[in-house]
Amino acid sequence: MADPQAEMVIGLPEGAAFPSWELRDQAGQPVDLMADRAGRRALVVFHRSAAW
Amino acid sequence: MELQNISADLEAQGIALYAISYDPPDVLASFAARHGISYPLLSDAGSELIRELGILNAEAPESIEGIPHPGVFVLDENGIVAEKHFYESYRERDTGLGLLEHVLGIAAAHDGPQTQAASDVVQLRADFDAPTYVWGQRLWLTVRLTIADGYHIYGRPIPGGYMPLDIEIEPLERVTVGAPRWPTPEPFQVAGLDEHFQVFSGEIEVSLPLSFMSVDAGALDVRGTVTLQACTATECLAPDSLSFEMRLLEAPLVERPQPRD
Repeated sequence: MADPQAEMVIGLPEGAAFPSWELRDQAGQPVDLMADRAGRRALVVFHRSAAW
Repeated sequence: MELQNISADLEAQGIALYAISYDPPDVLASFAARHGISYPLLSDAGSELIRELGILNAEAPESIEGIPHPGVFVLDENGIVAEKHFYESYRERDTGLGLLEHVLGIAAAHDGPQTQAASDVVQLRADFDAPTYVWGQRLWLTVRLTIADGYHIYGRPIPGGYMPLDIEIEPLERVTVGAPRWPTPEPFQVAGLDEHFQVFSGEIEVSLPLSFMSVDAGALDVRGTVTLQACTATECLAPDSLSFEMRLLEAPLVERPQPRD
């Protein structure tokens, strides 16, 4: 089995611009990450699922 | 929840927090309500952003198709990816504190077990960043060493015949110990000798991640040993070891994940 802890070199590389993207939040409201961030630094966390 | 615990710290630092999963908004709504979550949980139902970013877990079983590899992007003020950390398994996740300290470099209070040990010239303090573990979680073990004035201990690379600073965690079932994060040593040379050393002195900190994949294992006693050799500019003491032990409790798992290998 692969080491589950190993960091993977995947995804948008460092130095690339994160895309402007609209997603719905838990209230069903559209949130555009880049607009909502409003010039702040951001931590964008990807989870497996909230259901399990 | 972990991220909720750090959301105020992030806000104080002017850092926006977003958590994204492939769940539809209604699943996120009930999750947020149950766990008192106030930061944005965003729905990438259909996993389009996950695919666009190149973080889709293509190996995921059909029942959970569309999940991303777990991880984080840190964006700077201009929306540029300043840092990223992604992991193989959908089981893996950082604690909130782990993200704060090891991704963002923001010091935070550790509230896990602590212990101490000492030899003639080195004092050791060790702690965990949380008092409990839960399935799929990564906790950070931090070991701080205070080296007496006039002494140094060796780092790597190291000439043959000398003992570098090392840390060993006794194996525990279904616990994976990651590579230690060592501080940066300083070059050191003994007058009259050709050998080049890398050394530590004063106060140093080593941290290492432990991932817990146990369920219903109860309290776990984590035992570790630090080995080192302390020297002055003119003489070396015998190699030494400092052992420590800390107990972590298992937090109740609210929802047991369904997918299994």
